[in-house]
Amino acid sequence: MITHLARLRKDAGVTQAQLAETVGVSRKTINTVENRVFTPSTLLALKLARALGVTVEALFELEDGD
Amino acid sequence: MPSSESIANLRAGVFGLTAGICLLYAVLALATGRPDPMPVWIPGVCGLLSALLLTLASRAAGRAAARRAWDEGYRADARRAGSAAFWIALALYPAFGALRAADLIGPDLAMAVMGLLTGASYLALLTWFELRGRGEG
Repeated sequence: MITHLARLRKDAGVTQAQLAETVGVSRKTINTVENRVFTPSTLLALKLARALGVTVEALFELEDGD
Repeated sequence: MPSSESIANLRAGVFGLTAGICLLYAVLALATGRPDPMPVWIPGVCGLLSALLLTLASRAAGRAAARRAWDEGYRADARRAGSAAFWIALALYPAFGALRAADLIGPDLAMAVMGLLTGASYLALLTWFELRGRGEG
């Protein structure tokens, strides 16, 4: 799964720590999602999208083989 | 009041320390050929103190910070560490079975070392996943 979280977060002028606090997870979890180490739950994906004012599809997309 | 980051730091510290003590005990047991190279209560008490410290820190931090510290990212790490430690624990059986069959190690020593290596592997992996995932702020 391709993630655009880091780019969209930076575009919004938000730090990992600020986004983590907004959606109720640790900064490490945000970092692992951005680095594709961890695939977030549907609930967290929806919270991230809402926090950044974008759709889930704008945050994440499937890649070949998914 | 502790933050979620400080709980995570404490967790990495106490889990890493407990893993190190378990590993040290196992290595010393193998090196000395004794199942009790140090007082046998040390690894267990270290684990209980870790749990106590983390519980107290989480309570002091408040519900929101504690939930962030013990979030789905942590739970995913714990599942991965548990899965890997399960296979490590299984692999210890043939390894120590062979040592037992060759009469190179006694049953008490084998039991102590296998148990401590199982615990150490889980806690060390969990600590490693925690630290590796942090990256740049």
